[in-house]
Amino acid sequence: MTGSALVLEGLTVTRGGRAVVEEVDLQVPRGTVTALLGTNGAGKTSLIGAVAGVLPSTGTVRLGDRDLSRERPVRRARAGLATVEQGRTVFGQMSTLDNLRIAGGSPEAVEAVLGTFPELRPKLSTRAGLLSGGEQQMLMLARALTRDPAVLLVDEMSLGLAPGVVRRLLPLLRRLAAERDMAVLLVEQFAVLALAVCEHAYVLRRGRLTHDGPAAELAADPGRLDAAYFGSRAHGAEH
Amino acid sequence: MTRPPVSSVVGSLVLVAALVYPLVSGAYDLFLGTSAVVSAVVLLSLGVLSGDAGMPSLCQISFAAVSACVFTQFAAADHPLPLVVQVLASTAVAAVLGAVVSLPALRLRSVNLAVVTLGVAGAVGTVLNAPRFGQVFADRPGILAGDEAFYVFTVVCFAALAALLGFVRRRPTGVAWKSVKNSERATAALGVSVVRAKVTAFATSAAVAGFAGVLTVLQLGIVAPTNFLTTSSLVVFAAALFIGSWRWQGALLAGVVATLVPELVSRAGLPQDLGNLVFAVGAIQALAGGVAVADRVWPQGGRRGRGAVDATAWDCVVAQRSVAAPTGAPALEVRGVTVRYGGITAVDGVDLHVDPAEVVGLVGANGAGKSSIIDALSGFAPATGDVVVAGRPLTGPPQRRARHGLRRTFQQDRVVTTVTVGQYLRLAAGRRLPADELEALVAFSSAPSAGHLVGDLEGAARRLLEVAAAFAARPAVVLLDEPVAGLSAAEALVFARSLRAAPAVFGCGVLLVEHDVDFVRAVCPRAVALDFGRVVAGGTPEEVFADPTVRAAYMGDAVGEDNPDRPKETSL
Amino acid sequence: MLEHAVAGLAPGGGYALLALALVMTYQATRTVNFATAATGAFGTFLFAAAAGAGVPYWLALLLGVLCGAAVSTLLGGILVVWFDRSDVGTRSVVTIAQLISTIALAGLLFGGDPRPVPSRLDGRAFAVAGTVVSQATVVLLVLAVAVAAGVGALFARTLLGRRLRAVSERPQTAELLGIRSRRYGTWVWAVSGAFSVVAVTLISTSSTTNFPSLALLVVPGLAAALFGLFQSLAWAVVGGVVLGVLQGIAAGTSQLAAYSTTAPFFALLVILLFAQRGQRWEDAR
Repeated sequence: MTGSALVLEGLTVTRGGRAVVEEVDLQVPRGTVTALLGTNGAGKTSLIGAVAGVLPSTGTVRLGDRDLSRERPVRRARAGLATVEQGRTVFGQMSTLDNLRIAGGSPEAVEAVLGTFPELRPKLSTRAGLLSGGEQQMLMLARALTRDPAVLLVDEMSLGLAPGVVRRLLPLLRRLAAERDMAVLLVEQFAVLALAVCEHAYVLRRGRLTHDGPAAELAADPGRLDAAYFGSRAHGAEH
Repeated sequence: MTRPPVSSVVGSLVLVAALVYPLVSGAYDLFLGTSAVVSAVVLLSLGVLSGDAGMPSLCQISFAAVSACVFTQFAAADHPLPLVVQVLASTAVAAVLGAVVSLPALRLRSVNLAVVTLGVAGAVGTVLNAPRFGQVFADRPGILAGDEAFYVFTVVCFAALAALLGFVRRRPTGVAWKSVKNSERATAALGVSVVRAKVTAFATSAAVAGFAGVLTVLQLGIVAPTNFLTTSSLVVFAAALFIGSWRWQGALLAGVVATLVPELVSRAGLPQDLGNLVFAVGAIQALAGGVAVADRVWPQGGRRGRGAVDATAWDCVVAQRSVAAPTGAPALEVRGVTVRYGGITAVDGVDLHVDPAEVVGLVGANGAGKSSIIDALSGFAPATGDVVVAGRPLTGPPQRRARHGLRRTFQQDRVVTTVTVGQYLRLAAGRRLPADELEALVAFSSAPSAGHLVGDLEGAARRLLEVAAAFAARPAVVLLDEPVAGLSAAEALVFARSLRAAPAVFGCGVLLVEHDVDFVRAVCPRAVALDFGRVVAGGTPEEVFADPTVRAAYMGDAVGEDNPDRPKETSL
Repeated sequence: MLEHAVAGLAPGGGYALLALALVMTYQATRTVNFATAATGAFGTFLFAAAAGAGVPYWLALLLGVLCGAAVSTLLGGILVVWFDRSDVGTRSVVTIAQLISTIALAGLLFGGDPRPVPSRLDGRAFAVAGTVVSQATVVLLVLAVAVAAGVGALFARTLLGRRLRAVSERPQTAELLGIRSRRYGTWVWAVSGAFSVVAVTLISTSSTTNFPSLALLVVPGLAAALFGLFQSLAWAVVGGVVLGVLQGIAAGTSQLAAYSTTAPFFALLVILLFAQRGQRWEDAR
């Protein structure tokens, strides 16, 4: 087994004098999808921001053997870390093709992602802002993939998408991780959907990890998921 | 009470020395001293606009110029009016100009406002340079004829203005300025007029700057457009950023430095303008480091208590002041409220009601439309449907709704940090706050005292204070938008305990938006769940969270997929 | 009337060039650069000083342009290093401080006296209906249109241009895609500095002016840039020319002559109020 592609140690994010992510240790192995679950406000997006380098944090962020903790976002991106942000962050004024080209991937890489997302092909000259929500989400994924990243962070992909689209995209992540030997960290509020495609799951509650174990374990025991989500009194769970 | 830091003692001594020195020194130093105090008055004026109200102004010197110009015209009249009338009238003209300039500021902010005020500076400069504004010699009246006397006069004027502004800053008018700087939405949500705050800030500031212009005329006897350069406005702006002029110490220090630096530079045989470099570099440094010199020397001194939260005070208040829930019309009744952004329906025909002194939880996953409902009810988002508060239909802009019995808080706390707890609560109350009511509100907020600086409060107390401010106006209903977001589990528990007892004390209903399940359970006897903008469940929190639709909405079970009413896709 | 309008074309072209520099900097670096004209004036004064000291005209001009580019890069560098994550407001306020420092330094280096700016372009180009159009006017207008077209094409057609647009539209997303926004930003500062030198030189050609008043040419520049809401290059050019012409006509009307330079202010006010008419609140939520 190869070592984890992304390793976080003691990651703490402080915003407005308050730790919104506290002492998180987390590992994302290559070739699989790892889920980071939790309700809104648990600190998931702050954690992604800290890993991507757009939020200041303490602790260690390692990509393979490389310590990225002190690097700026651009350097992290160039080291092989791709981030699909929350919301529709396509470049709306540009065509779909320009969005794909902009990250500087080779024409072959662009062609390859179009193979993965054939839905985008007929829309190449359309302005990205005019695409549907699902298409924009695909474009964001495709755009991140043109750089052939070692690690892919995906933040709340399902937000505002029809369940059908989510059902199409989530299994795709699993396939992409395996095909490209890529480490995927999937941040999701909708646990049930995410657990279906990932190997390992972490649950974040109020900035701290409350669960760390195989996804199947969590999926098989709804009580634990409830406890992690709805708090201690639900189903009288252990912690 | 803690002792003031050494820096502020030393700083104050330096200022006193600087004020005394010209009196024991030569005539030229007296002239410089007078200039310094006049500059300090200009900086006081900028302190109101940029410091308090957060509106950048690059035309303070123009206000001074206009007053100076009017004053010299008065002085040239055949039958001059009494001096006091001349001064007041000249200052009033600047105030009117300030009010006029504030009109664009109602819509424009930050850079755009800076651009407009720079334009004002340019335009006023042009007008003053036009030939019909001649230069007139204005005589100082006998009592001020001597340079010493005039110097003392300027110092007294500065002190009086500083005291006056200090007084206004403690009153709701001045607290409203700071509130506007903090957040315009939050200001309107407190039922305070943003328009009024901006206009009064501009008019006050312009009047103070105009007074400085009058002082300049009296000091120099004759003024020319070169005394009021556009670039001087820029330098004043930079000096205020560098040294900080929103309190009198900073304004005085900045005035002294602004006079001293060019003097020293020119004594060194260098061009005087080179001194401006100091302010430019200082301003950049302050912007990068976030702290102005005066704020370092004189850290803001609210009363700093131990900070230990005293829950017993609130328990006493609860025991003494709780009353049975009033009967009558519901505190809030919502019928068929719908919110659309573009093609997306965020809230779809929601019906809700909150009884008097009842706490109702409004739960739902991210994007369910909870915050949109709050925005719609409080007037921040356009919506259709009926909103009735305590039996009266509620319409109009946020400020009006706030005054008619509906208050709200925001997800990110938007309390004003640079005022005391008491000042903030008085602003929110919008009326005279009786001592016992103030005491009850302070106890609820868990702040050590009403004199405590808001900025010194911990996160949890700050969020409680925001809620206390909403209660302060005695509204019929308060909407709380995720009040414990970002608090630790322990803090949320304390919050829940305080909040549960609040409706009985303050006699108002609460609609609590929250997705933290524990918190809703702890506070609300009744909850309503939303999904995709519709009410999907209602009942006790246990019932609501046991509802399969709610569970699906929270965790993404497959249930929702079969629902044909769910919107297909949303795009921004 | 026509005569006065034509007289306003030359400054109008200059305003247009300044506006282009402002729009470019805003688009690529999220900064309203109040020091644009001051940077230009710096280069212009260096050019005038060099030409006055006997340096050949074109070489002196090149020196001035390079100096403007260097000063602009330096000022931009301050923003890149210390204000990378600051909002537009803070970044723009920093440029106000830079405007002051540029004026102060110019006072030290060039003295406080007005300085004549030499010109090779004050000859007559052609005449329309008896009204002489100067060479400077033609050069300025052609240059403004060419620059707008060139920069427009760069933005629309090249990878560099797309990346600049990406950085402006979503700076964070661009960084996360590995686009080196700082490096691109530096180039934009340099180029806009060079443009502003050309603009200020041509506006002040054959006249004697003091440094602060040249530095404050940023006001009409801002007004022109606002015509296109800091988005459109073409409208910035149109705005500059319209403003120049209006000012020229006002200057030719005896009652208004003394107030003609207030025209940019009123233009500013009207456009800003129109553009921001929907901005009820200061933030999205």
